[in-house]
Amino acid sequence: MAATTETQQALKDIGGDYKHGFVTDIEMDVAPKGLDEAVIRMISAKKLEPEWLLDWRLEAFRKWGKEEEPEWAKVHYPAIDFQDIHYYAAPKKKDGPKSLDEVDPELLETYAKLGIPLREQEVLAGVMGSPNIAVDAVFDSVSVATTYKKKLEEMGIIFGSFSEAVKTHPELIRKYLGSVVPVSDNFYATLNSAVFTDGTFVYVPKGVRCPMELSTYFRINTKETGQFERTLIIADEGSYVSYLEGCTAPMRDENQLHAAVVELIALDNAEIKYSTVQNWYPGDKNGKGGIYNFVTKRGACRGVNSKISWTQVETGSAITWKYPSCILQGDNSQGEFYSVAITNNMQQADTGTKMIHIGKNTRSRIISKGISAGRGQNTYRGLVRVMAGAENARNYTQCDSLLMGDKCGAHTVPYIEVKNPSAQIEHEATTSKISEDQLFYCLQRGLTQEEAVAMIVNGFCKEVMQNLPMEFAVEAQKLLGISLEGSVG
Amino acid sequence: MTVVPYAEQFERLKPALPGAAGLREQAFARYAAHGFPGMKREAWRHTKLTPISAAALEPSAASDVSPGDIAAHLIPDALTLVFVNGRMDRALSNIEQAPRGVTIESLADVLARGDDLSPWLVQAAGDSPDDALVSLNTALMNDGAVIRVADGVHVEAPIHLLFFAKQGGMNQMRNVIVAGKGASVTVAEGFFGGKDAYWTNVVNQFFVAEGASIEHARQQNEGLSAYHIGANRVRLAQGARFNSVAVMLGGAVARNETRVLVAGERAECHLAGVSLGRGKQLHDSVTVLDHAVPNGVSDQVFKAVLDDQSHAVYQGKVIVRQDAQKTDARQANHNILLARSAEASSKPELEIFADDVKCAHGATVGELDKNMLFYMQARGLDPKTARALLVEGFVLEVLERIASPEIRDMFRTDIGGWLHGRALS
Repeated sequence: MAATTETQQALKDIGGDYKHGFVTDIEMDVAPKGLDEAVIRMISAKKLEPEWLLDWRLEAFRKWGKEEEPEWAKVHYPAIDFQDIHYYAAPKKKDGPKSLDEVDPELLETYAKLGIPLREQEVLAGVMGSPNIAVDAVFDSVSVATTYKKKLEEMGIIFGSFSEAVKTHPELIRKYLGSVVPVSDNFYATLNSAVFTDGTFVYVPKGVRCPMELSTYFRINTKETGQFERTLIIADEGSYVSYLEGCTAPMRDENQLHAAVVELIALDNAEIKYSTVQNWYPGDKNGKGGIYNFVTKRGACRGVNSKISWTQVETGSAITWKYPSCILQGDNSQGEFYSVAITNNMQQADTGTKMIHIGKNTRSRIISKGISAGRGQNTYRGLVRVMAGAENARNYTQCDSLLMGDKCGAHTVPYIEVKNPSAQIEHEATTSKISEDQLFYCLQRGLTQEEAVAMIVNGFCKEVMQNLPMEFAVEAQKLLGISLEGSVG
Repeated sequence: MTVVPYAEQFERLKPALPGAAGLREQAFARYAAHGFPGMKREAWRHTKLTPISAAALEPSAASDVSPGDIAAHLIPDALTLVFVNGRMDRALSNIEQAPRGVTIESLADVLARGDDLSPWLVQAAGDSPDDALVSLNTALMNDGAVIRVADGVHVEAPIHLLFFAKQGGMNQMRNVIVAGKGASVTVAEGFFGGKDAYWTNVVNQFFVAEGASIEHARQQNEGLSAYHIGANRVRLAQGARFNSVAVMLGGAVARNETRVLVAGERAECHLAGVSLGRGKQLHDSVTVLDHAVPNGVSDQVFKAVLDDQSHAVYQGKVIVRQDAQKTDARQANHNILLARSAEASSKPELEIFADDVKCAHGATVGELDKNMLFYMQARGLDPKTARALLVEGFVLEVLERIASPEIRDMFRTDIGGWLHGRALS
């Protein structure tokens, strides 16, 4: 690839420039390890939160003490010591590498393969001082972000950090926070409710069609928001928003546990499209290290004709435990879930969705593609529930698994619960492997083994990848190939 | 410490239970460690057992049925064993007509004379809380059939086990069916009961040796207040075949759980079920198909037609272990809801650890196809007949898997009765 050599050359040049990079003293603001009411009060005070939000956190903390860690998922990991975690650290981790020279070459190699611009690579790798460079140099992400922000403000769209929104729009937060994922929804969501540090808030006013994809990627201040992220997106009547979360580049975040909560609310005739590419550190080949990604994501289609669509590409994390769901309350509302989950080496993923049909003529569609390689374990776990009042509910579910190698596993655990006779529910699943014939055919036409695998896997995932926004899709496709390197042959 | 249900009964009854004292003690201890499976157990989450765990039922009193009572349920030319209230009725049974190479005995007789059945019996239960009622059955088993078919023997006549419950109480039945190498046999079961609330806890164990074949047909037509907990444990050796069709009509709460261990290569297993629910019935069909070795074939088709406020559950699990390459496993579950308050729950689960396999599953829930109804009515059928015909067609696909025409016809009559019994208006 031409881009690779180019990037490598550029990398060398830039490396010279930053060998003697400047060192800034950064004040570390870290809470002691462990969790008690005092820590929560501290977090709340640091963020200058109103009294009601502190009470909300404390209530969550008390409930959390009574909850048990879920054990039903098909994932195995050593017990987490919740008292051995820093629940507040700001600004986080600033002892980054001084230049790209100090960054793990393996990581750089991956960046190169993804075709990520150099300046961006520095930001991603956490090179010290890199945001400054980004401002005055080629990759002007801050000014980009500012330009966008101004344009959004003109349209009445609120897009900013969660803590900012608590100050500027407390009425919206108060009304909607915890209304989709209740405080004591599950162990990790409750923990998040008690200790969340920051996240994203989006409000799209009535009748507004958000003209661009909103992304945390553009919002410099949300980088490294930490383990307990809180996202709240509200699409008011007749509005539309597409939100991108995550990043195709690998993130070497050292946090073991990530317990985020995402709440989406779509009112009458509104539509939210939420896309995720998750590529956190999966641990090494022997399963040492890696992120535990225990996330609660749920959207409520509150209004008539509303629509929520989840698209996820999950390639990272040692353990993924997430079930982006839709509560289809409004009549004629629609939920969609498109997912690709890859587990390689020792990765484990237990992911899927829940579609709860409450309103009349509600429709849902689930397309899940699981790929297991190495010693990875991949589980699709999903629920389709049709309540008694949900006349003419429709669901179509397809979950396909692709196995690569004889030491991995692919599991499918669908739940279908129907209480209305007019419902039409269909579920299909298949399991297959990349056949020798397919590989042979590709190799014979001059592709390398890895290119062939990447191509076949991309074909397998096509239905999901098509739902990703353009700028994500290209990188995500490359990512699939990279995640599966070395898994065949 | 709460008292374990049925602990008192076990202590009091055990001196009078036929044989296997040590085995019973061990099994009771295993059961007592877990107690009744609660609704928090994933595999039992729809089956509410508190009425029978709280009721502390006694074994049903001895009773009898007249030849007239059973005539309608007989399969022509079958070898029949009749059990009434948990005891074999010798007068109504004709097992002495069993051909050479086949022994059919009462479990109570076999245990009482001190035959050691434990190599078979202990294989039924694991130590999981999900197996607690199988362990309780081992502790309290009262009677049942022990059928042994010698190597290479093909038994022409179906062997028919008929269970009647005349009054309240509990019946702990245990059947052991062993087909020797290359043997073949058909085993049918029928469960019938009166209006009283009673509990049938029945465990069937099928051992299918190399190249052997068992055809199994089960007709569950218990009284509508009854609790029926059925557990089938099947072990397939190399090249063995097991084909089972279960029809569920009766019971207030009825469960039919089948676990198959595909222990030999190139074994074949076909499981099918039809559940017809009305009133407030709960029908729970549970399957675990464990492919432990390569080249196994399995397929499952479970269908339910649900009226009134009835609820059907299908929880099917296919496990393909790491060694079980070239497994071909299929699973299908289809449900038709006839009434507004009926409910269907389906969980077709795949757990796959081998890569070179073909596994697929499908599940559907819906009402009768309006286009089909319209089509039939356009051709002059009244709506009632059209609906009955569609439902019949829907379930017949399953009945066609029964090899014996006599059994198929009997089941079909049963289903026809159900269809006409309900107002398909």
